[in-house]
Amino acid sequence: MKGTHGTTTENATSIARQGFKYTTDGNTSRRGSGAYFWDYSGESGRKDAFELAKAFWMAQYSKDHCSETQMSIIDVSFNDDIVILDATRHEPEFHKELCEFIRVSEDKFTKANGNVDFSEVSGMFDNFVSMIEEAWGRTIDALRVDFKVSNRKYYPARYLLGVESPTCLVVKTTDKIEIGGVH
Amino acid sequence: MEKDLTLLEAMRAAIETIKAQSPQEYVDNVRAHSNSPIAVSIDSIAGDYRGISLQTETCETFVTAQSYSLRQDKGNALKYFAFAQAKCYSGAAQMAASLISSCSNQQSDYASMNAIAA
Repeated sequence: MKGTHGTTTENATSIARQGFKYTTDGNTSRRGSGAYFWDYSGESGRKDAFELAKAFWMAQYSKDHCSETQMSIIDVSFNDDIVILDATRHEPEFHKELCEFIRVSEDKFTKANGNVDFSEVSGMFDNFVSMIEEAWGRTIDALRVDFKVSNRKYYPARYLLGVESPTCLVVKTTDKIEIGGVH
Repeated sequence: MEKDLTLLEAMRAAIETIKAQSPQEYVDNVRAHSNSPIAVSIDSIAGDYRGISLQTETCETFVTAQSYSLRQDKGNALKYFAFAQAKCYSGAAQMAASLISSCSNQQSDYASMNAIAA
């Protein structure tokens, strides 16, 4: 299985040299520092994954006056033994449990805080994965989630019209990632 | 140690554990994971939605500020203005400052509104 990740050319050079690293020191902006990929298999999937990496990056950073010429796409492959929790719509039973988890979490947050604070919710997924690992007795390396296209300007029409729904692979264990090349 | 559950069963077990936790205990656990790897990535890919949500919330707050301005209640208008401004949408803040000024018949610009709100 392979994947793509769009980033600045400067970051791509650093990633190619040092691999993917999480920035969790609290001093650096967390945005853009995660190891998330548009995973694919086959040649047509590869074309889509490149298109998504570019569209996502442009949608995120064009407002900061970044242009396409400042971005690079990193091509990666994942170790065969990578353990993925696929909670996308393609896996209905898992997706149903993910929806239940979100519902229960939202309820807990509302009862504790009176609302759901967006600055806190991302920790929900890590906490959930840790709890599943504890119950399962094994490590989960990555989580696959549905990705909702929100910026109409950059994505191909098939994603906007719901003909296709992109998914995104969030990788926790970065040593399962092998960097192929930078484009 | 590997346990005798499938991944799906483990997922259900985790949800049951969450249900058994108190709301505060759960929120504290989530906060403890806020800088962990999956959180960092989810934060990155969710940035767009968060921006949209924040923008909506900010605009709603400015509308509230404007509504107080229309009622000549500058104290409350400024309170909501300061709250919305904390959300860091300077463009919207400028627009609100201009609205508040025009509604309260007072000359004001973004900088002076900032000073008052602070």
